[in-house]
Amino acid sequence: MKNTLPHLFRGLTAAVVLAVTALGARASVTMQLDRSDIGADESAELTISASGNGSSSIRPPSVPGLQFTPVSQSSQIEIINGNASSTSSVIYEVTAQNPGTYTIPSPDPAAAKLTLRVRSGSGAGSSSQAAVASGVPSTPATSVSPALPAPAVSGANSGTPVMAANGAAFLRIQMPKRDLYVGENVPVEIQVGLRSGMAATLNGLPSLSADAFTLNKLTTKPEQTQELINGEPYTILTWHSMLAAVKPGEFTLSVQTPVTVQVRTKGRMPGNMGDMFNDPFFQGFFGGVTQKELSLSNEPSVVKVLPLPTSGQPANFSGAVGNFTATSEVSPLKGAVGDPLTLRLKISGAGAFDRVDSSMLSSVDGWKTYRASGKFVPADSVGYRGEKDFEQAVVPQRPGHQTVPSLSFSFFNPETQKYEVLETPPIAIEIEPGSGTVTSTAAPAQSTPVATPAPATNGLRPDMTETGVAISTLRPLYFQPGFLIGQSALALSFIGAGAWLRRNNRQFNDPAWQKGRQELQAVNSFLAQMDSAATQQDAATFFFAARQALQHTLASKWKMSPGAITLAEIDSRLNGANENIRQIFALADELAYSGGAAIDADFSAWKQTVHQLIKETKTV
Amino acid sequence: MNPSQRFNLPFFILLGLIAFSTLVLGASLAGLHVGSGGPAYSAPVLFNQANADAQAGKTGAAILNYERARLLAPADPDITTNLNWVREHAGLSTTPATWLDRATSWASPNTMALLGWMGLVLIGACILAAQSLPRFRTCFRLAACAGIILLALALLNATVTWQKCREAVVVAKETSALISPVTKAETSFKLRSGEMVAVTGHYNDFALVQNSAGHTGWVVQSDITSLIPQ
Repeated sequence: MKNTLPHLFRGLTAAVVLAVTALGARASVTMQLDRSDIGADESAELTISASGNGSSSIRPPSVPGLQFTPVSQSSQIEIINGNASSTSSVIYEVTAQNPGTYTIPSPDPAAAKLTLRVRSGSGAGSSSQAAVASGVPSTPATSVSPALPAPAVSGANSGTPVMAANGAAFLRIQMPKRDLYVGENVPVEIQVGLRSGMAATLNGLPSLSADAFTLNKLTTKPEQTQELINGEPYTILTWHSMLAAVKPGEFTLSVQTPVTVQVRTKGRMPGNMGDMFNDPFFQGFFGGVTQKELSLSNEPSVVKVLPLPTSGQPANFSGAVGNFTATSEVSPLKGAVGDPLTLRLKISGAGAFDRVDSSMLSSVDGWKTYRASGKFVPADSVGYRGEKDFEQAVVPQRPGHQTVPSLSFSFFNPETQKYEVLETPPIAIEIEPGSGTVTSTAAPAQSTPVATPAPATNGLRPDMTETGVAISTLRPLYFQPGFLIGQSALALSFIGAGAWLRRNNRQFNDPAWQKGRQELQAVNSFLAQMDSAATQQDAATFFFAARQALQHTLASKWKMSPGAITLAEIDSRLNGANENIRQIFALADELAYSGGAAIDADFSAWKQTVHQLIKETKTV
Repeated sequence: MNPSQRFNLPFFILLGLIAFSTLVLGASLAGLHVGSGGPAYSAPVLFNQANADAQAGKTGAAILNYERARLLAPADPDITTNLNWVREHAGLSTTPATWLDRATSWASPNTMALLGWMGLVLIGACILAAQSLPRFRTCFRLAACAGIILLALALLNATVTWQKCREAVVVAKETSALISPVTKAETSFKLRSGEMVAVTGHYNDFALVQNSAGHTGWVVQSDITSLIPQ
């Protein structure tokens, strides 16, 4: 009972197919492999379709070494004007016992044989479960263009496809070079490959995963082509864009885009029902499809970005990087004084046209000039190639044989790695005398002012070519603790030094302070003299210097002249309180009157006493 | 103290202070040097990045990078033009620059900080020199006035820049400002990508912001990016 229901359904379907096909007289059989290259542990799907009236029953081919297991089958019956026709298809899972190349003969002798290559081990090839794409239009395998070589992976591109979802999809980027200059635009192609016959949906445009590059003018609608990669048909979606580097250095270039692929699964149902619906017939009938969100990305590759050389940069270099040619013309070649002529400069080539700019003529003797206007005509979808025309109205001021001076345009050529300056030849013009006055000439309508540099077509000013000085933080110096503390300390030091100097100056200009300072210097001088005399055991000089030192100290204290400090004055002021001072004065007088007779004095003790007295006097 | 002593002392003090200040400045400038693997900011690179963001439709990131580029090169007309263009196309209002902005934004904050340093040194040098050489006091006073002007400009610029330290740009496509810092809180108002807000507080993963209309609310921190990274 367990296997009854699946067999019943299968038998019923087969009976219908047999009954219908019996009506037909002639059948045609086609055969198709979903891939021609598999790993030893993988399987391919072989679809055998029989169509036409009376198509015969489908049988699997017999190939030694290959095993054909039926996975699903379907049939369609059409009755037109009483003639019945049927189409039946059976899908077989093909597995190989050994690696090698197998040839699968078609039941129809007229049809071509199929070849299946079985590699040893598993490869990036494919799985019988993953399938891509019909979110984007897909083309049946039979209508695929002749086999193309695998995606070109030359030295100058990073186009190595990294397969995702078991080979269902990949992304690659193709660019002509890996060494760029800052400001240089390089055309790139970003390609997303989706295996034909599978369902996938793109969830966004390709984007860069690093901030060192920018993708400019990315086409919103991708081109769609077919390509055979390793024998598998793929739908290739190609976006065109221009890649520009924003700063010098070595950076990893990686592009990614989000996709959702529909993956067929072999889910198992629990219990008896599970056994029934796990039958390949029902798997194919009910689909068993789940959606899987992926982020496709290319093989990251390193791109070297060089800064523009600073040496040899022309003065009128406006940042144009590329390869350009320039021509100029004037129309008409004959005119009258005061009549406006149109001077045109055409710059064509390939590169960063955003930065192609010319101020044309400024002030030229004998000509009145107006501001130039520029217009860019792209020659490709991303504006990498094209022509930029500048027009300027010029008005002759003098009659006779005149010459429009040459125009100059400079750019950096990444191929020659040099700055190049283009000079157009001067143009001779014959000018006849005019009737009107020159100054009254009205400005021509086309002389619209153009700001420099000219705005890009989308309203944004173009990228800058110079990289500027990079700093490690956006936090200004003001708010960095080291700078703040240092400058605060500096300010406080200046304030302190200023205050100290001001105080010194005030004292220096104060007479009382000056007098006090002189007294102090005198006292110090006498004390030094006293010390010297003590060393020499010269009593007369010692006591004389000691008295002088005390006189100056007391005079400063009592606001008197040092000469007025006598023993009588000291007695009256100190009231006999200080005997040592009296003794010093007395000894000094005695030695002065005695002519410096030698006395037995303890100089060390007296020296200490004098110093002590002066110290006490100052303190008091 | 004789006149030669009076001249020498402040002279050496002055030299010492200027040497000290120069050392501090040098150390601060060395801190701005870009280390290997660390972040690197330059006005042209930020401008180019903003252009790419604008072309990719990332309004918030574009405005953030333009604002950062303008912080480093406030006088660059290209940056201002593109910033205004992106704002207008995003339907965001462009606030006209105040007199304070115009007066102090002709140079980058770092340049203004250097000018402020020069002003400070000039003031200090003139004060000390005027004490020593009274004959040239008038000249020193004039030079000190120039220093005061430089210092005042730097301080004004620092005031304006200080406000920018609190500013952030909404980088999410749209975010809700909530009445409290919890996910299920009621929405107070909506903020669009590229809007500038002032961050006045933080709580867990939320930031308290104030928009140009003066309304305040809590937004998820990942929806905004500070103009000046902390």
